[in-house]
Amino acid sequence: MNSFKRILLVEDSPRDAELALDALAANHLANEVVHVRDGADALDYLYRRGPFADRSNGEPAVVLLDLKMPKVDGLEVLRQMKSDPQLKVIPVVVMTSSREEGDLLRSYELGVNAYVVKPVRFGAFVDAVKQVGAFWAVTNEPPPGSLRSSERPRS
Amino acid sequence: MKPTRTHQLIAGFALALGLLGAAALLQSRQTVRADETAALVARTHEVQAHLNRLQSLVLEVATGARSFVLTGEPMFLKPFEANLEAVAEQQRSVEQLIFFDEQKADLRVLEPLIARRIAVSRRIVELRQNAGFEAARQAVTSGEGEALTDAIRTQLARMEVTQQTLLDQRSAASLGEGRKTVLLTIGATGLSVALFIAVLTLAMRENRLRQRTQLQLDRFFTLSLDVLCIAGMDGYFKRVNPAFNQTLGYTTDELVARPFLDFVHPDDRAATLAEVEKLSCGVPTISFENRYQCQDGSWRWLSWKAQPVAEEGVVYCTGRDITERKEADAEIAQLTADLQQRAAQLKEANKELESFSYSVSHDLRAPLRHVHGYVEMLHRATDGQLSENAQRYLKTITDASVEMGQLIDDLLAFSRMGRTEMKQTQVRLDELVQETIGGLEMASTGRTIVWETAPLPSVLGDPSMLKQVLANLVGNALKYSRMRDPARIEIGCTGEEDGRVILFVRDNGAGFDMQYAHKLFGVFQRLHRAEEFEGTGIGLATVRRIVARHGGRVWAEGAVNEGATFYFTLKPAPSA
Repeated sequence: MNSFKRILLVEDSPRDAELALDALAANHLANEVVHVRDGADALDYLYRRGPFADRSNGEPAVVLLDLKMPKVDGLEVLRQMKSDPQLKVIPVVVMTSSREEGDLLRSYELGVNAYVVKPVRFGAFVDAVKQVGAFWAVTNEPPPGSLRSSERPRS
Repeated sequence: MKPTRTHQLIAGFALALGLLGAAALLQSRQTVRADETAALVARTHEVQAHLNRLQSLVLEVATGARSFVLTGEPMFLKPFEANLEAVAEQQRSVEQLIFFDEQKADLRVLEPLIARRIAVSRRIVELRQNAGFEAARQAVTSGEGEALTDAIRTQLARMEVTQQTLLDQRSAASLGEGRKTVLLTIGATGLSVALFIAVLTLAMRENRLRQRTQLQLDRFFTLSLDVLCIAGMDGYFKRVNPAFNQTLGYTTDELVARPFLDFVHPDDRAATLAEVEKLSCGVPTISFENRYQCQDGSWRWLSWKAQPVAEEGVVYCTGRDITERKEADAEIAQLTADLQQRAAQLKEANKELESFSYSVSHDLRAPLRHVHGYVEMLHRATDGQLSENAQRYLKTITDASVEMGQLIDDLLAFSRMGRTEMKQTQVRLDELVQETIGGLEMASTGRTIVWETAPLPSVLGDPSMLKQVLANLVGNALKYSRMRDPARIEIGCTGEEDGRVILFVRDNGAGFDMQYAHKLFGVFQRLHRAEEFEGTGIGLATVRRIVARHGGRVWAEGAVNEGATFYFTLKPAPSA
């Protein structure tokens, strides 16, 4: 059995989150998915602040990042992560409805690792989530310090 | 420094005067010399007269002596004694009168001769008195006295000759000098007269030229469209040209009666005064603008150029009426401001549109995805327990959401086409067509399609936009010729229109009714029902928008079931 790595899902829409989690579950990739609802929470999680001050150790193997979110948006999360020497090694995949050139350009300028436009068709959406999840959470070798869920200390 | 015409004239004049002076000097010297010569002649004649007298006196002395010898009469002795006195007197006179060395030498020879002759006569007289007649007669006949008399006569003759010769020489010299002087005087006078004439002619010509130049300047002064004036340092106009009167509407008298500052707009007076101050310090005005009041109360803008002339105490000014330009400038400034405001508004609107379409892109698609996703999950959750009808409903919901997703995408693309920056490069249509056909391979699999592509020219435009045009048109041709076997799609070029090449895409498909042709290129306008041919009705609107942004136009020809031809025009790329 594959050893799964932790995925951080940053998504403000509960429906989108449910669909994504469903897609990950359908592909047996949902063992360790941390879901936060906006950019501020995502940064708190990554920097172990506020509600996440005493979260478990280890960094996610990949961050699935929505762009349009309340409070701190995805591009800002991306900017802060990629300008932080510790966080910049974590792969970030933008998953968004936006196909706007400006978003694409800005994301790549900030150093995004992949950019996925969420398809309207659910089948295609599931496929996309499955591919992204499988690649980043299974196939890809994350940077040192990422937590494999199989190695997760049982509490 | 180059000598001016005036300098030349003065030099010529001075030279002529100098020559005249020299001639006068020569003439006066010659007159003095002529007087001297005349005096000399007179003196010579006087000397000659004295000599003649001397000769006759000597003869008379001899004759007196002889007469006494013959007669023994003492009465003859009286004139003898008297004549001796006269001889001595004549000799003194001659001595005083002569001045040439030759004459003096001659006189020195003559005087002893005369003295000896007188001595001879005296001895004879004494012999007659003391020794008697015979002794005296012998002395007389001895011939001694006669010989001396001859010698005296000869010497006197020689002296006359000497004297005449000297006189002739002097006269000749004087005459020669006189001739030379006359010639020189005539020459100098003639030359100076010629010079005077030349100088006068030149001066007159110069004067005529000046007069003509003055006349020309005056004509220009009168003709000028620009206002011209000479202003005094006292703040009054000295002279104004007719353009001044025409521009401002005042008479010359009115203009010169008041200080010119009175006519200047109150707001411009300080600046005008400052400019006048500079002019009075000798700084010329290159460009200065102020407003002058017209007779009717209106204001005219004048642009000035001025040159102060200190020695005349005036300023020469030329001014141009720039009122219209000023008004045009103001209008342009107003228009520019309006335009800038409008551009700002447009930019704002564009930004709003941008964020609007961003929201559409993001927020409108999300619910659709949710509808689609939850239907799918419902489908999975019920896992075949639903009735066939219920399943069909779910499928319809899915189809509808997909369709709407497509609509949103097309609409966003269409809106982007109008906004994105356009590149302008050379585009090889041949290559673009091949790429487009290659890209539509999926849609054409399993069908028999005859492609007829003619060689196409290169055009100027945005490659990605033009590719969109071809993709839409060729895509349509493929779609609407679906029921044909074989489908025939032709892509070519047919002539020119307004310097643009006409390109076309033709198919043998469903075609359309020409009476609805105007609806073809409208957004969301469709001529076919969705069940026949899928589509959002945005493709051709996008084509029209792109071609229009390239400055060209699109149109279509067709007939129901007889295929359709879509034309569009593009600017050809410059060859080479």
